[in-house]
Amino acid sequence: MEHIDQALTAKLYRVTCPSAEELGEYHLQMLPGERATAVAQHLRTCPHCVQELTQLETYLRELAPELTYTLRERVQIWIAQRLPSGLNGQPGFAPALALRGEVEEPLMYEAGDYQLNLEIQEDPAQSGRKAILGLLLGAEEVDFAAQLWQNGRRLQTTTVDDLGNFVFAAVPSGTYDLILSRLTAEIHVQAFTV
Amino acid sequence: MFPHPGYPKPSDFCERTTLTQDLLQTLTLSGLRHRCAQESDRFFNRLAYDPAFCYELFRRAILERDEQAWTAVYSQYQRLVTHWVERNATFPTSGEEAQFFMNRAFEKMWLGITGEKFGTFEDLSSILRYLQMCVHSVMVDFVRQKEHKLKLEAVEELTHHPPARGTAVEDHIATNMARKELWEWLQNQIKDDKEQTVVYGLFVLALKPREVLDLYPHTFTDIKEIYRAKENLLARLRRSEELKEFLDDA
Repeated sequence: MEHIDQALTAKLYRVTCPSAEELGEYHLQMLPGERATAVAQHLRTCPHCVQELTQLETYLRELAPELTYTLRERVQIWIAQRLPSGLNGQPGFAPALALRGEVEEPLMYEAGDYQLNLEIQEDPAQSGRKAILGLLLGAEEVDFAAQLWQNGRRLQTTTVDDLGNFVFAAVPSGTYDLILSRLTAEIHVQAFTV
Repeated sequence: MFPHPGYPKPSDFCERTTLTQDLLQTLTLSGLRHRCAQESDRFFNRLAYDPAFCYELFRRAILERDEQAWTAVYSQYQRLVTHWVERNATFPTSGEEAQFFMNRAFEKMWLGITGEKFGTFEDLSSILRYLQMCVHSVMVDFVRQKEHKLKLEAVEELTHHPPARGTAVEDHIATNMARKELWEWLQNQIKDDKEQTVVYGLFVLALKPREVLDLYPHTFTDIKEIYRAKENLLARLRRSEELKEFLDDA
C-alpha cells in the first residue's frame, strides 16, 4: 500500500471513458439519444476524449473523399438469358476450337444484340478438369475481355479473339459466373455449371 | 426548361435509378464485385462513377451477413484502408505493420455494424466514413492500451510485483471488470465533491494537481486544497483491506 496513488492511477486510468468506437459513433451522430447525452456530458470533463475527438475530426476531414453521387453514361450491362437447347445446329454457333473428349450439350445465351455459345469439354491437358470454349457473336468490334468468376472471386481472365472465340482451361467442376466486358458494355452469364 | 443543358432531367434520374435497382437485385456476387471494382477504378481516376454497386456489396455483407460478400468487401477495400492507416498520425510510431491495424479496422466494422446502424447510412460515402472512423478507433485503442500498460509497468517497478498473466483476451476482460468494480467501490468511500473530483482528476484522468485546479476552478480555491483532499482520502483508503485486495489482484 506504499504506492497507493500510482496503483490507483494504473487501475483507474480512463475507466469512465467511452470506447473509441462509441466516441466515433458520437461524432458521426449515430448514437441513440441517451448514449449521445452521456458522451456529451463526459466530454465536458475529459480532456483525453476531447483530444481524441479533435484528432478524429481532423483525420476524417483530411481523408474525406469526394464521394458525391455522379450520373454518367452508364456501361450497358446485359444479364445473359439462356436459350433452349437444340439451336446449336445453326451455322456459326459451333466453337472454332474443338478438343477431343466428352462434349456436353452447349449452353446458348442471348444478351441484347449478342449471342453466346459455351461448350464445356474435358480438358485434354489436365485430367479431371474441364475446358470452356466460348463463342461470342453479334459484336461488330470484338474487343471484349472474358473473366471467369466464382463466389465473388475472379479466377481467370482471357481475351476474346477477332472471331469471337475464347477459352478457359483447367477449370474444376463447379458453378461459375462469366463476365465479358469492354469499355461500354458488359455481358454477365450467371451461375452456369461446369 | 432546365437551367443547365447537361443536367439530368428528373425522368432520366428515375429511369436510371430504377434500372440500377433492378440490376442490383439481379447481379450475382461475382457480377457485383466486378462492377464495384470497375466503378472504384473510375473514382480513383477522377472519372464519373456510380457508387450503387459498392453500396450494394456492403449491404449484402453487413445487412444479410453474407460472409462471401464481406470477403469481397475486404478484397476491394484493403488497399484503401491500409492507405488510411498509413495516413494516421499514430501509425509511424506504433511499431506495428499497417496490415495489423487494417485487419482490426475491418473486424471492428464487421462486429460493430448492426442492421439498425446500417439503416443510417445514406450512401457509399457514409459507409466509407464509418470505416475510416473504425481505422482511427483501432489506432486510439492501441494508444490507450499502451498508456495503460506503461502505468501498470510503473507500479510493477515500484512494487516488484508482476501481475498474473492469462491470455490476452482473458486479461483484457478480467482487467476491465476489476477496474469497473474498483471504481464502483471507490464511489462508496468518497465523502464529498472535493474527494470525488480528486479521484477523478488525479487517478482517472491522471492529471497533475495543477491541471485539476485548472479544470475545476470552482471546486478548489487553491492547489493545497487538492493535496489535502487527496491525503485525507488516501489515509482512509490505506486502512482498507478491500482496497488492498483490489490492488493485489492487479
